[in-house]
Amino acid sequence: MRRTSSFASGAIVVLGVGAIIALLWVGRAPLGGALWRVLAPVVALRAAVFQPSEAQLEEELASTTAALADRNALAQENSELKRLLGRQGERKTILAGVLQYPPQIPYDTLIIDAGSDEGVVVGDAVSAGGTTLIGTVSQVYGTTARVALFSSPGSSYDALLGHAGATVPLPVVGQGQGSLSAEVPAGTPVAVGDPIVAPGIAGGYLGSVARIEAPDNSTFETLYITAPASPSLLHFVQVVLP
Amino acid sequence: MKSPVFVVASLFFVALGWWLPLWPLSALGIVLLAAGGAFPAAFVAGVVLDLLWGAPPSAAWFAFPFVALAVLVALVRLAVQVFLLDKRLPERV
Repeated sequence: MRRTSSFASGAIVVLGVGAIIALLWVGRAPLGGALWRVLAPVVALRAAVFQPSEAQLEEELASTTAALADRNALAQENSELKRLLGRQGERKTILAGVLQYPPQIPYDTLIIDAGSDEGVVVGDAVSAGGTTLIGTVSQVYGTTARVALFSSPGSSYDALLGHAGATVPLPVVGQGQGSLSAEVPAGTPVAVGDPIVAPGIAGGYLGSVARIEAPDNSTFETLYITAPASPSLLHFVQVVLP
Repeated sequence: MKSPVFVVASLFFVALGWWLPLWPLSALGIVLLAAGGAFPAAFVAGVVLDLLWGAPPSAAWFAFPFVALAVLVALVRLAVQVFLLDKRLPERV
């Protein structure tokens, strides 16, 4: 009798835990969305408390405006050439504020304040400004979304290495902490500072080669790539709509 | 260890870690809860954090790292209790 009751209670516990796990697996996205909605006032309060001062933002803007001047001219020229050749590489974007960023939150991800209410969908590219891509939207909630940075450990993407006018396709792997790596066959023409860009007509700058490791007698070289922008310094990002 | 003050203080660590944000602080809160024997609270806190911060992008979508941390610490606590603390020396050699 005692054995039967202990068996029954054990079965109930196992079934209960199984039901909870099944509920969490199936309902992860909606439950996460509901939680972010419930916590929206707290998130707004946090944003108000930790908001950078106007003077600080103006200072940052002044320092970047000069650096962007020639880039804007080149981007305009690039866009004009594509238009003349009958290919529109322009994209629509949504501005989003960064609520949480690494290393304060785990997994090299960002939480941004734009979600399905603003038209963000899973898979949208995210840029730090202009054509500088930093990641893709991995989860969308009502008013927020999660962005997986290209540097997320274990993530892998196709990219192109540019060197002296030639391009070499290569798979780029995230290393965490804003860095990426890639392997190319030994003898591939590459130099420190070479750009890594996303494939496609719209393209996008992913980073540049920071270090090349070419061990003796190895058939491959390892390239270490630095992302163009440090996620912890970003206050705003642009979500690129499809 | 399972006093309400201890549980509330640990949950405060979890919440503060999310709000600041500083994820190791949240992880510490979960470890304290699970190690202190408040496993249901550790489990719920782990679920909430995993729902908010999601799974690692390269891991399977059903990965729940903070819940896994709570379960791991609870198992370690159980093992310590069973194999170390509860062991009695034989009365006669």
